[in-house]
Amino acid sequence: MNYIKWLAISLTLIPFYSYADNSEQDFTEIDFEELMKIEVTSVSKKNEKLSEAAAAIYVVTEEEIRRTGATSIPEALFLVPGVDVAKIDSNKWAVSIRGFNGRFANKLLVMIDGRSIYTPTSSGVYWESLNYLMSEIKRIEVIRGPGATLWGANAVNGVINIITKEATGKEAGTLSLTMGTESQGIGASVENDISDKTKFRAYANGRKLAESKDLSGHDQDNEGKYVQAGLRFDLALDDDQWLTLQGDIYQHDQRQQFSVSNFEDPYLANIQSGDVDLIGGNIGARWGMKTSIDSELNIRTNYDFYEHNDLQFKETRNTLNIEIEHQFTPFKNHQLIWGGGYRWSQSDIEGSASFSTSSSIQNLDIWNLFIQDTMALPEQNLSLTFGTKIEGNTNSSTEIQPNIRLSWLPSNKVTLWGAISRAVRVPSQVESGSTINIQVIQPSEFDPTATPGLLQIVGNNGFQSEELNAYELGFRWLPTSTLSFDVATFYNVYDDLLSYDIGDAEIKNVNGSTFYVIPINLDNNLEGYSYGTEWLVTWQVTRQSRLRFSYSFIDIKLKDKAENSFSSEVISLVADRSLEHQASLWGSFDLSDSVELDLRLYYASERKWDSSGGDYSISDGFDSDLRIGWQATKALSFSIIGRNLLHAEKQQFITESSSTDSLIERSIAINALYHW
Amino acid sequence: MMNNLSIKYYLTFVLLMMNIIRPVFSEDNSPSAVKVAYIYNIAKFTRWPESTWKDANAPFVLCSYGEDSVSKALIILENKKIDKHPITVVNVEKDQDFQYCHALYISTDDSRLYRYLLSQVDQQKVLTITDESSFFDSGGFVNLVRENKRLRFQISNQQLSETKLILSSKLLKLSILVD
Repeated sequence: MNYIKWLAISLTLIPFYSYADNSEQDFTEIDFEELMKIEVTSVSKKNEKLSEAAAAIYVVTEEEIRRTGATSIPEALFLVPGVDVAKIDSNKWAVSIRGFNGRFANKLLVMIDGRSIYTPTSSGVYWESLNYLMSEIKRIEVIRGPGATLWGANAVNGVINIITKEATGKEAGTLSLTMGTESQGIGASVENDISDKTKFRAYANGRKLAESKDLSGHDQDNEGKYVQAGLRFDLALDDDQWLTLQGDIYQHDQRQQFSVSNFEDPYLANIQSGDVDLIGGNIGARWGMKTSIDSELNIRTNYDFYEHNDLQFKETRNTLNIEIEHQFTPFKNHQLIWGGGYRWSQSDIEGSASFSTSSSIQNLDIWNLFIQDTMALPEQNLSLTFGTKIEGNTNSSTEIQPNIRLSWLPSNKVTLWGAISRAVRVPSQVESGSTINIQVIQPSEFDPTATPGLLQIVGNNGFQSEELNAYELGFRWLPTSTLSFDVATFYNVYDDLLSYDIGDAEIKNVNGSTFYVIPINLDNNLEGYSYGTEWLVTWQVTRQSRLRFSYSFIDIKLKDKAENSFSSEVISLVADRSLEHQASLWGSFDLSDSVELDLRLYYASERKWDSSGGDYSISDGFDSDLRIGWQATKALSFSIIGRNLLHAEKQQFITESSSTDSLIERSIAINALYHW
Repeated sequence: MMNNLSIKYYLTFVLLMMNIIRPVFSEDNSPSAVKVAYIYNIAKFTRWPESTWKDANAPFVLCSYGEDSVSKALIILENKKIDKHPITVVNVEKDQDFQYCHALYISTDDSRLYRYLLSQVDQQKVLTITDESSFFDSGGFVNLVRENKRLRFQISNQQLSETKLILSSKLLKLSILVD
């Protein structure tokens, strides 16, 4: 692995070299300073300086998104400190924070402009449905650790809040064209003002993604076309009031391979291909009012609709959401925020031979109330935050999710913080009321009746919420205006995690044939803990070069309270498919006034799954991304983006069903961006 | 499987790029220090109505909102003079703080807060200076901008026609007038 060494050495040498050259220079760098002082809203839903927040938070800025050359949200999240992002196949992603990664990683809350986009069906996120134009995104706030007190259920191991740009009222637009080995895309956006008080912004984005390869190197049937458009109006109602009306709509047509069980002789599963149609949209209104410089009232409502049709599963879901939130200063040195919300979500599911639900139409009502106070003790340089959320829903009991956070600034260069919080992951519709026929087993030759077997996952309407009690400690240090360190550590205690209990086999008629049905009953018997740490070092070496190093580590220890022959397989499924170690080095260089170079070298440890069907593993290794950008004229720029450059093709993730596992190919793309 | 040939090409390319890196350094000053100097000079070339101060030595209140490097660096203006008035720098935290401002420096990336802050001062009598604001269209008197790596400032024509402040001709000549 000599080349890795060269690369690492060369990367670290450049800045030293230039630093030595310019040791007399004043490196006060505005961009970097701003970066360290970005006003963020996610942690306490109040503006708070990033470096003083009592939570592990990272903000992906517009500039960072641009310099990664990301064409999708998971690509923009890739290499964000502490975030585990893996591409499953041509279009699907596994994204998680602090372990438990999977196609439907369910301990992460993802929101776009405050609208939750996890689906109550699986408690996961359909990342392939998101086809935003990346230049429309202002920033992505990533919180590692629980955020349930303010954001509610599913904000267990982390929160990702994607914030789109508001209309500025200037007449402007962009046109972007991408041609690449794995994707092609065309996107456009315009913005302008309609009147003094009304501004709008609109975008459309179309992408074509090439197929991935199966593990033996053959092309899979999973290419797709993705189209999404959106529109927003920002209205200044008064000096102290505003209204945003916003909507998006999408239609994606893709192909997908499935491993399909055969319920008739010879009972062998085969791989079939089919169309997947993803259709959806949302419309929302957000009204806000400033009642004084430090108080604000916000009311938000949105309606979200999606349709997901594939070979095994057809679902239509409608969700209506309304939230109110008020923050103010009741007394000196106190910032109080309180609010509540109600969500109604209805899904209509049409199953298949492999999947069925207890009732096709299900309604879910969720309500919540929360209150949180941040108390400043300026004399001691302390800030104490405490609050709780009470949340109830149709599928589980009422949950209380409190947190307490303390930050101490012993000097203006150091922040120490700690937090204790509780968060829950509420049962998904699949867990509480569905039956999945996962595998047909051929009859034994010794069985005179020649009855085949069937492994069946059986939902449990008594399934309870998964629970987390989290203990976090963090430290930030800014020794100079150009160098910063951010270290977070955590100890998470989980209880009532999803477990599989094997029931007694019964003879049953399923899909017209007789089977020995072996039920795998869902239960809440896993418990355990995880611990880990995340480090980030950012160094603005010179005005033209910046280095960012990040490293994260996690170890997950789980056990099954009702140990059975499936226990170790399930524990391996939830714990071992995430990265234990992850490290990256990102060098950003301005080679001249018009040429930028971004070089990212990263390491990922092994992923594995010891299952009864075989042991799967992906070896550890290095890889690298590269972007070169050239501002050709004031309006026109070009960039070349390379991803996974050190491997012609490599598997990135192990899915729950191995038939869809894929090799992700090295990709090179050229982008032209024109703006006016 | 790794493709050794392309890795070699890639590495050669990367190393080539590294060799190209010869950062060109201009003698830059810290932008915030430059901005503070701009704010001071803009105030010096502005005349407030006679009735503004009762006493010739009464302080000039420079208000500031935003916790960026500029608002921190503003402190170096403390006790420097605008005419005979010594400058007092005030970080506004409450609505009541605004009434004393003679000039208000605003730095925020929140357009709502921006409009609210502007609504709190009498723009005819208070010199508002915003920092590279993308909301300058929606209000404000003077906006610091960067053009070709140099700092410049915009003056709103509309505010200019309504203001009771007198901006020197020198100031107007250097500025970029915008509608």
